[in-house]
Amino acid sequence: MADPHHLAPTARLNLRAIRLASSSGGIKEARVDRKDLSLANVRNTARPLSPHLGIYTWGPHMAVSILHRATGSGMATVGTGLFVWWLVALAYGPDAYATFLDVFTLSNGKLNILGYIVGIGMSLSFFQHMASGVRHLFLDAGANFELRGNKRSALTTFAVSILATAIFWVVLLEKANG
Amino acid sequence: MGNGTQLGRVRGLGSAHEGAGEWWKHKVSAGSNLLLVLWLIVSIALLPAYDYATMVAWIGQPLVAVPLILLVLSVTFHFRHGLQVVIEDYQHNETRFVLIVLLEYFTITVRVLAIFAILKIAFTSVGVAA
Repeated sequence: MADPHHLAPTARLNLRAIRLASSSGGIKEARVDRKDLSLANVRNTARPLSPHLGIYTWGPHMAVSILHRATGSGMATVGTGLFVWWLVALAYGPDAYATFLDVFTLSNGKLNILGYIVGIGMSLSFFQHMASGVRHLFLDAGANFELRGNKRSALTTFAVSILATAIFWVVLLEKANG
Repeated sequence: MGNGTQLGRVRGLGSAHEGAGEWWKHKVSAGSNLLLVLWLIVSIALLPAYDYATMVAWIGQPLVAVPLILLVLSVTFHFRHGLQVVIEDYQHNETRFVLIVLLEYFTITVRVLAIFAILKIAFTSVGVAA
């Protein structure tokens, strides 16, 4: 192995980091040879690379991030449209409200397929956006950036949104059928 | 990039000042959305029925109509800001400009439409509590 004092400063630092990691049993395979050291190009293969597109893999934190945008944009457009349609139909009177209900219900008053898709889609979107929004409030405060905790809170948002949506629909359907 | 103008420094309008203000208002509206939309969802889940008479009587109550109006203000403010960030991230040049102007029109239209509808229901319903 090369004498560290003949190396460039960055390579010396990397070598030291590898030695520390090796002594603590933190890495399995450290690629260190003369050529790499002389180019100051030592890479500890146990450490993550920065996310170039070629090695990008999905994780819960990425899914939560893009879902926050997707659910927010969905509710802002589809959700707002439904909400305003609902209010304006009520303001117009019984006939307009009957037309509104008719789009989403069967003749016996229960929800049709569209009613279920829109209803479950919007409620799941809201609870997912809500849970991940609360997670964002902690991230904004500088908390929850540790890898394990960050992943766990990302997974928690899925659990919360699915559970809350299930409870909401159990309450609704119990009333409709009971 | 320079260090900004002297006038800009006097006004405290570096990017952080203005940007942080928008960011903070977005967070405040997120907090009021959390309370108001949860209230709406729980209220709707607990309503005995969803026919016209029940809905109109429910919205006609002052303590339903007013939170509904607050919800409209809070949610439209929040999504106007959120959608603008999405547009700014993915669209550029003329498309970005046009979409942000359309977003502004859309936001104001739905806000006024929803508030007018709530007020009309509230002021014309018989006022029987659901």
